[in-house]
Amino acid sequence: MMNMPLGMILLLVVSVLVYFGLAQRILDRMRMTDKQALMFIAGIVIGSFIDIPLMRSPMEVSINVGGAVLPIILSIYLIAKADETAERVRAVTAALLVAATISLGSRYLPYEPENMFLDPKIIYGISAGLIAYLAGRSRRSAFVGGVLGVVLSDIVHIVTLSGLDIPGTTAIGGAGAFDVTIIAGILAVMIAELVGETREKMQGGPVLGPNRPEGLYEFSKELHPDNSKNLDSKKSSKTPEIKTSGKEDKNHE
Amino acid sequence: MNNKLFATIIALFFILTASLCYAAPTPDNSYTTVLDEGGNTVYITGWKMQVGDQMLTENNRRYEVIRVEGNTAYAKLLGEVNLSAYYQEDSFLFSQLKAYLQPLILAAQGGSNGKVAVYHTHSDESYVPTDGKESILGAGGIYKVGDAFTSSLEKKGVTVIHSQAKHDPHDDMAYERSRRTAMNLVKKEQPDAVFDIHRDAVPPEVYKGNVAGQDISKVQLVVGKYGPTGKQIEDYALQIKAASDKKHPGLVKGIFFAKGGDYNQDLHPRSMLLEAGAHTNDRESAEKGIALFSDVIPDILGKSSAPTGPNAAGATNSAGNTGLGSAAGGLSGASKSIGWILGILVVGVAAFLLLSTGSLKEAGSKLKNFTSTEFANFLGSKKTKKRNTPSSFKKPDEEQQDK
Repeated sequence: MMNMPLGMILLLVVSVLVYFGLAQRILDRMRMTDKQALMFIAGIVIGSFIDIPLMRSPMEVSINVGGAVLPIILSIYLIAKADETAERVRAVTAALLVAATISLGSRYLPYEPENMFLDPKIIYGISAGLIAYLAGRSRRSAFVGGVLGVVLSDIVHIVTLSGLDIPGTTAIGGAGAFDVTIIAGILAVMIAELVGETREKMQGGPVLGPNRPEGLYEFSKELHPDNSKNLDSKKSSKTPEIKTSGKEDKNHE
Repeated sequence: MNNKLFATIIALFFILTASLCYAAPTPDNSYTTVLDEGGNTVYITGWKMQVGDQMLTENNRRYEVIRVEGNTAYAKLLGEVNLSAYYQEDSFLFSQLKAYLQPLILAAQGGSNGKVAVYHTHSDESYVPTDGKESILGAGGIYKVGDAFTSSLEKKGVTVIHSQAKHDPHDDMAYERSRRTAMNLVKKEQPDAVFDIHRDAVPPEVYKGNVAGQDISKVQLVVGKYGPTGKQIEDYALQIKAASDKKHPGLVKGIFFAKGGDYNQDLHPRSMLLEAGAHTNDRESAEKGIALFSDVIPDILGKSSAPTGPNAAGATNSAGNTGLGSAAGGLSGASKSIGWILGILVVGVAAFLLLSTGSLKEAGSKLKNFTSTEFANFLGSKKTKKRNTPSSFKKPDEEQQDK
């Protein structure tokens, strides 16, 4: 590995930075602070080097800590912390639907990625995002759908292979941070975000200016001069006027 | 209630379909013939083609597919590629120096002549004349071809890790399963290069050849152009072809640039998909072909005294050979790939900001807000942050309670 030209090393550094930067932005929407998201990524990277063997025969099955155990724990945590039962059901439904899509898709779609319009990783990530968005309308259930969907499809794969006596190896989340499990989770959130934002946009988008709904964060003070006044009054006095200031709640909406 | 019912139905459906039988890849015996503007056959491969796919023929003419009708693809000539740009002799002085230093370099590297990892995404691929069938689930003849490649490389002092992992069935998740194998090899072994060995599916004469006095099956290289690192892999494939043309002319049948997948070549900058013959060739000839191909590997890894090109994937030690590009070769694939990644990042961020805020001004402010508050959250202590940043009255934890 050390025998590489500078260009190659730079390429590696850039792609890893961009990938993890993106993952961090996605994870901090999953009930995590920026710091926790960063720690979680560190956990995924370190966990990538740890494989836990689950089964030796009839086929070898192992699970990777960074590529599967941590994302599964996060998904279960998100399901458990959901506000309503309906939300939980929707997240689990999304995961089941994604798993069915992958299992059936991999069987009936062309078997060379070349014959598909997108790489399978991307297709299943995007379908996870769409399914989860339709089922749950939320980024969190999109993430859960993407991650648990891929893991479930792996389990289906194990069951099928052992049922047919085909020798094989399954390493759930085995590619660590670059596994389809995490890629599907990240892509799913991006798709949910994209679809959600576009839909909002098409419906007219959030109102800018003085009539902006309460709680919606506005970034440019110029658009809404009241905001900056508010900010000052907040700093100086202990009785903030909340009626126009949306700064209490933040952005990601 | 409805939701629960729905979930149950889905789960049932799921369990039922899981018990269905996997069909082995259907031997439909179809392959693609590529015709040039004059109607001459220029390339034959088992890969299905899409408009935009490219190929480099054995005699280094590059074509792009412009139309596909069934199993025939029509391509236009993009030009002849001068591969000598990818293969340059060292100056006399430098090669003398290198020859002198070679034992020292080897000693410093622990006597190893480089490390190569080999795996097989399609574990079932076999050769009909010798193996009897074209697909043997879990025990394809392709592993024996991998063995031939391995032992031939080991004779040259290269350390080889030949993975026996299976990725059946032959479906479109096979590459996602082999991705785990490839990643494992990369992170545990830190190889200098990774090869995914397959075989093609075309009539025997396409791969038949006589190189170095032996009847062999030729080798095809496949480059996945899908990911942003595709440019880098493209460069690498051209270097391999250049080195191979020098050593064993006629051994590499061509390079197929598939735009539809990345074939896990994003995991290592020296990843290559090889096709050793077709299912209609006998396996021994494929083994001989891949053994000859292994002669090229030390050059590619920059481990022999033979040189590599201007943007080479090889050693950093020849003058100006940083892999960033050169006046002669232009920008290297690595530099182009970096450009693509950064370009996509900038466009993506801009599009997201616009979409989520609704106006350029608002987007700009959000970006500013991001750089001032988000990084304060990472790097500044809470106290200083409270005093200095505009949204200071917000606790970082509260920021996340959004949905």
